[in-house]
Amino acid sequence: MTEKQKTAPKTNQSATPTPDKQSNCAAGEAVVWEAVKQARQNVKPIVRKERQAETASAELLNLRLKAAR
Amino acid sequence: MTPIRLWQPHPSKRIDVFPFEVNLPTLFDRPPGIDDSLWPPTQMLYLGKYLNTLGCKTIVVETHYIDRDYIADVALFYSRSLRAYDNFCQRLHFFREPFDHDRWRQLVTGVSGEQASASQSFLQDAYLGFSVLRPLPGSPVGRTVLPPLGEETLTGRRRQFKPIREYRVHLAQFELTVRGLAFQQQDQGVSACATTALWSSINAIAQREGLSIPTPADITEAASRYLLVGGRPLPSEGLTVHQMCEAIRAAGLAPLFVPSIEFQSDRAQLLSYLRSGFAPVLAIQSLQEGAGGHAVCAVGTKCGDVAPQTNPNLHFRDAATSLQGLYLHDDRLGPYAAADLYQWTSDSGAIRTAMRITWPDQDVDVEHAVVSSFVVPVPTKLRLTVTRMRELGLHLADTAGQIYPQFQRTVTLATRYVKGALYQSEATIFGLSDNGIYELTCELALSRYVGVIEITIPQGPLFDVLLDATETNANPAALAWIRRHLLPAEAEDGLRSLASSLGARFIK
Repeated sequence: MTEKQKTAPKTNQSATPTPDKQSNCAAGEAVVWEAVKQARQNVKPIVRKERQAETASAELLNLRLKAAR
Repeated sequence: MTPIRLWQPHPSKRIDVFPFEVNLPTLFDRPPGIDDSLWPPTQMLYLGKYLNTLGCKTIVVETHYIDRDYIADVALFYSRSLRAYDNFCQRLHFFREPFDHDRWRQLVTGVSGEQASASQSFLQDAYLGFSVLRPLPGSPVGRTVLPPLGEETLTGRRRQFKPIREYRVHLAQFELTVRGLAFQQQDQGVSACATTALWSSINAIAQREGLSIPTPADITEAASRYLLVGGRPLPSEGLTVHQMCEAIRAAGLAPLFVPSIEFQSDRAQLLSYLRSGFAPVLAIQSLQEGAGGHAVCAVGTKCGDVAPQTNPNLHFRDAATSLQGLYLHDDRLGPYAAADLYQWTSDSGAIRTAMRITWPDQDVDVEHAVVSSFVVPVPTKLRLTVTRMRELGLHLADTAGQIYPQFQRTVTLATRYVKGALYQSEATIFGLSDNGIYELTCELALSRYVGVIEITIPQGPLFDVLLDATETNANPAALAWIRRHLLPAEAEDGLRSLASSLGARFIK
């Protein structure tokens, strides 16, 4: 486990895609980008919760595993 | 006067054949002692029941077998005991066909080409696997490789065992193979539960990464070399998760530590790693009061149907909701012990992941335990975690669910890792054009492992997004967007634009 994994990333780059400013979005593309924008809001709570899986605590790391037969 | 012998003769060996007996311990001498809880060992009883489920009919016993793992235990620990522990074991081979010693002799001595080939085929077709029995009273079950149960459960659920691999076995002049994942019981001298769980997990990955598999003695030594939390390393008093991470690094792999968050998130993580062929070591705590921590190795999944989406704000389903149970190498029981997953509410109100570990052919609960965390030994260059893969996958799945309302929120998200070369080898069945196949297989540079975000509907796949697993974040790691045959034509331009903004090629 690296140092990076021990603490939650504070400035993690967003996984949400953003429109390519160079491209001309046609009407169909606009629908997709609107959906992306909405999806960003919809999944935000799940993403926030799942990011906790990258935070280790000393208590968990030091749990001794030795169940008897 | 009898002369004093200053030399040891070379050992001889014998091969015995016994009819299978479900009560396996009846084949062996009970070791001396007054503690009835030590004999018969639960693991041996479990093994008998499991073999019975597999349809075992005959046991062939090699009376002298040098086991790499056990002899390392002897060198490190048992050779310094007063009792002269043998440095060899016995090995039991299990067959699903009935035969006796006379038939065995015929199989071995049929020397003509045709007879030898028929004997080989007969034994291979009937071969179920092997178990090394150590001369250790109370903890005899050494390296054991048996196949998992079939793909479908009695209740129609699907089993999958991606971490298993092939083992080659030599018995007399025959080379036999068995597909499974090695299991062994902790001996409490050199190894504890965490040692053997980790050993099984590394067995699943080391060979395909070209690494040697450490023995339990290697694992104990590596774990306690720099990090002795308390007590002594030998006899083993168990390992901490921290020590397991240290042993994984010493084996040439990277320890991916995942704390248990809550039921749905844990299931997503476990399903993704297991369907990628990695075997997570779970740190669990019994719900019985006063029980300590225990480690088991997850080797398979039991899945039902993907559950419908219950959150009205979301437009997709999560494949992880199909995960209903795990199959564990639990050194208190045996290989492929069934564990049903369920939600458990802690005193603080958190929804945790709990499991009910059961016997293979009975509905008797053995233990209820809550998952504390898990560690996955992965190749060092696999840096992209499931968490980060899912972060992008959640966005893409919800987007797809919105732009294709005709699928009525059945768009499903799943993630996994696969070797890039293997993904490319499957390109011809993706429904791609000739140009698409050529671009995917010849023009796209892939990392050794790629992360795959799979967006599907019940009828089949819509698209995959391939991620460079050597990156740490998913967003700049997208390599390609693979159009699969069920993706509707509408909004394709939008998806191309989305792929372009991710820096991924759109391959169709």
